[in-house]
Amino acid sequence: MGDADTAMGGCDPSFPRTRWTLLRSAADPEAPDYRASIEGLAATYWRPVYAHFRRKWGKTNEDAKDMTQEFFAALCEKDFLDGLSPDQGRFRSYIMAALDNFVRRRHRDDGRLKRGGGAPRLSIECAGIFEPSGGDSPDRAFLRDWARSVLDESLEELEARYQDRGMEKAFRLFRLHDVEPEAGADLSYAALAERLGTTVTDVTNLLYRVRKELREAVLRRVRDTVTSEEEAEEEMRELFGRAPSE
Amino acid sequence: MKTSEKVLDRLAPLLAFDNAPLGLLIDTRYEVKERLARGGMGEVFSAWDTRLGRAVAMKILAPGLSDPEWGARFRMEAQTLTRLDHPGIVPIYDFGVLPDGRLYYTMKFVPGRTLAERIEGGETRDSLVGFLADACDTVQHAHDQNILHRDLKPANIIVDEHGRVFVLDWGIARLLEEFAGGRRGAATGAPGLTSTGTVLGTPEYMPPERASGDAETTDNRSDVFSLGAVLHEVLTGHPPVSPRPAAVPIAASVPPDIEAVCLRALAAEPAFRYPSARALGDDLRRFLRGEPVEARPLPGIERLKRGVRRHRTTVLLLAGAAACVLVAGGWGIRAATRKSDAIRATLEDAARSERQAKVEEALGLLERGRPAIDRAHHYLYGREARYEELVRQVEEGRPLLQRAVELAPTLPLGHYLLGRAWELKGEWGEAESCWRKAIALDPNFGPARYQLGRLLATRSFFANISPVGDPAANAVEAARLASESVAHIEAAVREGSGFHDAVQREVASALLACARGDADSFAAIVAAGIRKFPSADGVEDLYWLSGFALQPRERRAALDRAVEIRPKHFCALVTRAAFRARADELEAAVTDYGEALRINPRLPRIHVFRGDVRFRLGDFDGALADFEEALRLDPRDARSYVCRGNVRCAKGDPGGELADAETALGIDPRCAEAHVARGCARLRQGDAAGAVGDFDRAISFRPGFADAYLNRGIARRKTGDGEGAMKDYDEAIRLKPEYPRAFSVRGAARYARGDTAGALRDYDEAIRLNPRFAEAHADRAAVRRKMGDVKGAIEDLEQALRLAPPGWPHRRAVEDRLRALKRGLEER
Repeated sequence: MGDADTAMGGCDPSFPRTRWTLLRSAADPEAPDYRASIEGLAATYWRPVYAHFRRKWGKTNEDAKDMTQEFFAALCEKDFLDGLSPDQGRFRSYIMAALDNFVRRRHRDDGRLKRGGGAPRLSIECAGIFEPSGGDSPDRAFLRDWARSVLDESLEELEARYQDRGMEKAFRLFRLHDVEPEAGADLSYAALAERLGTTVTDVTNLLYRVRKELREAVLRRVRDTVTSEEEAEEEMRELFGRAPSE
Repeated sequence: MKTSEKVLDRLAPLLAFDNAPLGLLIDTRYEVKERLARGGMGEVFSAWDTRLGRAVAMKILAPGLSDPEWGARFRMEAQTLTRLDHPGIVPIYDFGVLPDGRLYYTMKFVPGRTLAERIEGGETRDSLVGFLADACDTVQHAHDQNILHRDLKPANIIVDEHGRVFVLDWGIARLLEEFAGGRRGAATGAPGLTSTGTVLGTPEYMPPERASGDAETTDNRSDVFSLGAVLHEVLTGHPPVSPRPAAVPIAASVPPDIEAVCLRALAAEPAFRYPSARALGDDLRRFLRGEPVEARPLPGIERLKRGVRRHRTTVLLLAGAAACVLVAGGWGIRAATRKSDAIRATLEDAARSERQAKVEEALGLLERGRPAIDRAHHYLYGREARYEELVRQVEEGRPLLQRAVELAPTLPLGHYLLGRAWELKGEWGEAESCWRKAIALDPNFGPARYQLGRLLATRSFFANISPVGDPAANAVEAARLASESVAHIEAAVREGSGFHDAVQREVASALLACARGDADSFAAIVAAGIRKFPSADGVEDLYWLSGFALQPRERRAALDRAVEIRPKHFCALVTRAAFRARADELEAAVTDYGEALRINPRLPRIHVFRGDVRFRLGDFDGALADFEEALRLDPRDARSYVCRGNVRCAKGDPGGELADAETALGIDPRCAEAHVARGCARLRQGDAAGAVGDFDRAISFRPGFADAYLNRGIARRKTGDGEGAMKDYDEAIRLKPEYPRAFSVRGAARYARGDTAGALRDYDEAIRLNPRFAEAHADRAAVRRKMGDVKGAIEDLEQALRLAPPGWPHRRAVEDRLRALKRGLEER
């Protein structure tokens, strides 16, 4: 059963060197690679961090913005990552644990946390990020915000890609059927085929293809935050699988 | 963010798993909708049968299992299902091949929740046991067809909305005759499915004979073991720890009968298990009907003794030997919110902006209220800290927190902070309810879990050291609290973010080890923690805890150190007081209780503790004041009335004693101590027959209550029933062999009957047990004199006068007797 074992998720020695593996192994936080990695990750994931400060720790808008900046700045300090325990394999779990410690440290230091010289500059535009979560726990809300962030970027990338290829129709179909179905519209494959002037087989094939590509786009981003292919699939399940309470 | 929650909900099923054929139309018939489950062998999806217009479940062989062996196994599962025609087996509809070559079959779609989800969701024990009994019937049906399931676990049992139970996943089921002749896989013509030597199944639920690959002994009783493991999870929230030690109670909170059923199903040796799944199901139903089960329960007294013996030193722990925790509590339940309903969505949108404004405002209030709470906490490190000032500081923040909670009742942070405010004010009931609310809103909110767990651990400790009430009942209450405490602290440790610093984490681990009864790791954790953080904030908690881990002499030093670091360490003060009271250092104990009450006068129990010590000291006014205060704080506590009645009687007010006993019985007619108190009051008023009735009731409510026997004996003697009296004295001494008063009373009765030698033995024993027992000395003097030992009699009388408290009513008489004896000796 050797084949089956591998296919079911053995370790993958060829896992690429991602932003997160680089951060974890970096010796020198002053290295340009290191900062670039943090900036790259911060650009995608500052939103859930900001929302978490507001939601779990009750920070005001201004405070939460400041703290988000400080948090990613602190990430640029080598000693910050030193606290990383080896079992926190994933960027998200690490951030989760680091966030609350960061808040406590900040409370303790009375806001005198020093900022690193190479802090990434985030343009923080907060409208619409922070919504009170309908009964979700702060941790669950953080997970969902994280998922929304990565999905946001992936959808944008996909739309641009389909435009470049001149396949707007496929993406439009996907939008209509999967992303933002119009209320009350007939969304059967036959109706969609008629509406877009194509066949039912085409509709099912196109949908299948866009969905597959969306998953690949999301997975690519997720890989940036983990250290193995197995973890990447696990992360996908955690981000997008059903909550245990549902 | 552009992606809304709705879009996330819609796209998530497409993203969670790879290779999902979602949205595909298979065989021009089945449209695959959503993944329902994933197992080792395949995945199950919901699908729409476009031809018949109905929902079906579709099981697809897992990608990567292209090996023909797996294909054969998958086919066999489908065939097994076809063979098993039973209401508890999901019927199969169709078998086919996906475009990518993978096999699939479709079956009836059962909307419902698995037993695993229901256990997690905190469903009641009895309904879960009922479902399991039904599953036993289904498994029995399969056994009747010579088929073993081999992978029974909570995730493979599903219950639909009508309560119908289905056993799923027959993927590794095998024919019995394959085992019977030891010809693995040969009998059915199927390929050698375990030819690779792989043990299939889920280890936690697997019987020992299968885990060790012993096919010879595998039969239907292997499935019985797995059903037993499921029952274990139903009862405790987790499968058994393997290997299970035989006949060890599984958890303090599990009724002995169902525990016996579980242990029998889980017997390591198949011969000791139930002979069939049906037999197990029958016993489960007997338990549900309240009938005696066939499995023999462990005797209750044995269980209790075992618990007590293990935890004598570490008093928090009386949780009972196994101390597994029943985690099937209610906090896992959260209403599933589905956002598909368009009307509801519109309403939600309208409500959202208003709610957002409220949440904003609440967050602002919390931010403003919190610093006052932190300041108040640090105030407790001051030597001169006083309750009034503490309350003033807390009240600077508490109203803001209160307002925040009213504005945004779904914010766990608000309830948590408000709970801390109440705790500082000494209002533990309020604090507990706040933290429970925070946890209900967010089961992963570590800080609330930790604080609640700590509070429950402290309450468990108080129940344990309580000098009033039935010690066995106190121990049971302590065990219950300790096991709930474990559940919360465990959750906090697991969640990991509930700790302000590393010291607090050490404290949590220590509390856990303590409440689990693991004395060795407890001592090690505490010692290591103190070594690691000798001067950190919070280390005083470790010193406090080490008070339980150490030998008495070191214990004192540890508690002293805790109080030195934080002079207002309430728990350390109460602990030191309790140990001092036990060591008869009564004045010091009163001082410690006083210090504790100075910073938190709001717990009635601590007033009762101090009142008890003051009573022992002969400070009746002080004791009376304490019991009065306890009653002011909790006017519904029957035992505090009994305590006050005792003091009133000691102060020469038997009418007051009777009134208090009556009040206590009005509150709790089953309070054995109150019956004894009323009996004593009646006895003093000359109503011996009425008193006997009271003592009878006390004994019926609390069998084994030595005081009740002793006093009934006294009352019986007054009614002229000398034989009955003697029997009662004997029983009291049997129940409590270290009971000096019982020996002295029996000594008096023996003396009156002319049994002087027996009387002397009793008095000797009474004085050996309590050398400061003035009455016993005085009475022994009479016996000695009668036996001609005048010198011994004089010694006893002198000793009695030395020991007796100032207002001793017998002083005059004893002095007269002493003078007479001395005179007689001189004359002679």
